[in-house]
Amino acid sequence: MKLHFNIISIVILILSTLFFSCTKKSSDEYIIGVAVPFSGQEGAATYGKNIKQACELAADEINKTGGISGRKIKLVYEDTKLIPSISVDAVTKLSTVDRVDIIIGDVASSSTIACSKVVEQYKTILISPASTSHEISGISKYVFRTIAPDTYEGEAMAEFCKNKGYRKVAICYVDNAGTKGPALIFKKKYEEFGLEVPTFEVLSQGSTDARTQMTKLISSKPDAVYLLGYALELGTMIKQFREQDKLLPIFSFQVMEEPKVREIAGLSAEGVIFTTPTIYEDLASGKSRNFIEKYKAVYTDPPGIFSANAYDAIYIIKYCIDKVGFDKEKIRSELSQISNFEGASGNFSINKNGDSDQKPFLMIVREGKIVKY
Amino acid sequence: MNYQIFLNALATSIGYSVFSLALYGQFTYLRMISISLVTSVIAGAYGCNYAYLMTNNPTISILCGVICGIILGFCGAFLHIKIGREKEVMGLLGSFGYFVIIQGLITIITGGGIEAFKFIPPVSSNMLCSFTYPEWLLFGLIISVLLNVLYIIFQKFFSLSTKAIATGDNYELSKLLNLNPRKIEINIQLLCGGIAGISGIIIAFDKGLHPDLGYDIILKAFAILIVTGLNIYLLFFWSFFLALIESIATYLFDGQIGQAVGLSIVVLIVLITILNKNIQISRMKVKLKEQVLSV
Repeated sequence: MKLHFNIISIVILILSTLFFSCTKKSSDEYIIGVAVPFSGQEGAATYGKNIKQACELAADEINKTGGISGRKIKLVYEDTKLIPSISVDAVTKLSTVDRVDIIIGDVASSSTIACSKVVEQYKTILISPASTSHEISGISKYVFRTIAPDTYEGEAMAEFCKNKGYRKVAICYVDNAGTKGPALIFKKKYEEFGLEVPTFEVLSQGSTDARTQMTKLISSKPDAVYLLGYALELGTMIKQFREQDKLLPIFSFQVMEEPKVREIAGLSAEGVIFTTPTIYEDLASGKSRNFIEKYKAVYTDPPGIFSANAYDAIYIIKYCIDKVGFDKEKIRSELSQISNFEGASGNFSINKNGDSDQKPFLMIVREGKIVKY
Repeated sequence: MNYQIFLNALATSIGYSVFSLALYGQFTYLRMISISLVTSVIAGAYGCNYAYLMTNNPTISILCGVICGIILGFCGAFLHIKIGREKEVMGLLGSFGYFVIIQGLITIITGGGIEAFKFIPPVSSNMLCSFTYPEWLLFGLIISVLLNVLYIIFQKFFSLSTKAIATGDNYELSKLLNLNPRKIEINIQLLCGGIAGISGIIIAFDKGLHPDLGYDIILKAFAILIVTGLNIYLLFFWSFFLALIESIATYLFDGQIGQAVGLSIVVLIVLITILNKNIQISRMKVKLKEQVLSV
C-alpha cells in the first residue's frame, strides 16, 4: 500500500512539474528564446554572458518605449554548453515547451548547423549572433545571422596580404568548421591572385603542441603566416611560432579577441594583425558608439565578442514585427529582405542565404591591447 | 628537416618523461595506475600558477605546485584505501571519487581565484606563459633528469621501496609481516602525487595552462611505460624516442595524416614490445619447465 502511495505521489509530482513548466503564452508578452552557452569548455560562458547582457539591454530599451507593437519582450534562456547535441535539445525545448517563434543562438557553428534541422521541423526562426561557418549559408530558410560568415574574413585577409606585397603566406588551421572556412577561402583567393600558399598545415582541436607544424611552416620560407584556431590552439601556435621565428608577420582572425589567446601567447601576441566582425570603441561611430556607451553604463565593462551582434538580433526582430506583425512566416520573409540596417555592429544587409554582409575590421595587438590597425 | 625537430621532440619528451615516472612509481610499488595522478598533474600546474599570481615569486609558486600535487596524491591514496581497496576494484572507485572531488575543487579555486586576483595589484602576466623557450627547455631538462636519478637512488637505497613492493605484491601477507600497508600506500601516493605535480608544472611552462592538462599525455605515458618494460633507466630515452617519431611523422606527412602515422608507429612499437615480452616469458616458462623435469 505504502509502495503504491509512493508511486502515485511521484507520478503526480512529475505531471505537475511538466504542467507548470509549460510556459503559458501571455498576450501582452512576446517571448524570444536565447539558446547560448553559459557553461562548458573554456570561454563558453563568456560568449553566453556577452549575448545575454546585450539581449537584455536591447529588450529593456524596447520595453521602456512600449515594447514591440504593444507587447513586452520576455527572454527565455537555455544553456547549450557549446555542445551540438545539447543545443538541439535546447532549441527543441524552446520550440515545443516554451513555444517561441524566434530563437537567438547558437555560438558554435557546429551547434547552429545541428539546430538547423530542428528549426526547419518546427518552423522556428533561428538568428545566430556568433556562428561564422560558411557551411551555415543557406542551410535553412529559417536560419539567419547578424554576423558575417567566416569567408568574409578569409577574403579580407587575403586581400590585405596581397596589398602588403607578400608573395608566400603559409597557413596552419585547426580542424574545425569554424576555422577551416577562412583558411580554405584565403588559400583559394590567394591562388586566384597568382600568389602562393607554400604550406597548408592542420592541427588537431585541443592540441597544445604545434611546434612541429610551426617548424614546417618556417621551413617553407613564407613571407608571412596565417594562423587559425580556437583560444587554446591559437595561443599555443603563436607562442610556439615565435619561439622559432621572431620576425615573420603573423595574421589571424576574430578568435584573437579572446583574452585567453593573449594570455597563452604572452608577449608573442604583440603585432599580430587580425580580422574581426566586432566593432571596437576606437572604430565606433553613430549607433555603434551609442551602444557601447549604453552597455558600459549598465554593465561597467565594455561590450565583448558577439555583444553588438546579439543586440542587433533583438532590434531586427522588432524592425520586422513593427513592419509585418506577429505572423511567423511574414517575419521570416521580412528578415531575408533586411537592407542597410543601421545596427550596433555597423550597417548591414541580410542576403538571400540569411547572412549578414558586414565587412570585417582589421585590428592589431599592441602592448597587450587590441587597437585599430 | 632541421635541428628544430629534435628540440621539439626534446621539449615534448620532458613532460612525457616526468609524468611516466609518476605512473612508473605507482605501478611498480602499488600495482595500480589510477586517474588520480592525472588530476595531480592539473593541480600541480594550477597551484603553481595561482601562487605566482599572488606572490610574484617563482620559487614559492613551484613549491606550491609540488605541494598541491602531494596533497592530491594523499587524497587519492585516502580514497583508494577507503573505497577502492575494500571493494577490491583496484582503486577505480577511489580514483573516480577523487577525480570528481578534485575537479570540483579546481573549478572553485579557478573561479574564486580569478575573482580574488582582480583585487591584487599588480597582476603582471602569467609566469607559465612568460618563460622563454630556451629557459623552459633548460629548466625542464634539469628537473626531468634530476627526478629520474633521484628516483633510481630511492629505489636502490631506501627500505620504503622494498616494503612498498612487498605491499603491492601481497597486501595481506605484508600485514602478517608486521608492515603497515596503509602507511606505505599513502607514502607512495604522496611521492607519486608530488612527481605528477612537478610534471604539471613543466607541462604548463611548455604549453600553457588549461583544464585538460595531463589528459593530453596520459596515453603516451602509458605507451612509454609499456615500451620501457618498466625499466626506469630507459624512461627518458624512450620518452624522447616516441616524441621524435611523432615529430618526424608530423613533419614529413601533410595535415593530420602525419599525426596519424606518428601514432600508428607508436602503437606498432607498443604491440611489438608486448609481443616480444610475451615470447620472452613463454620461453622462460618452457626453460623452467625443462629444468623442473630434468630435476
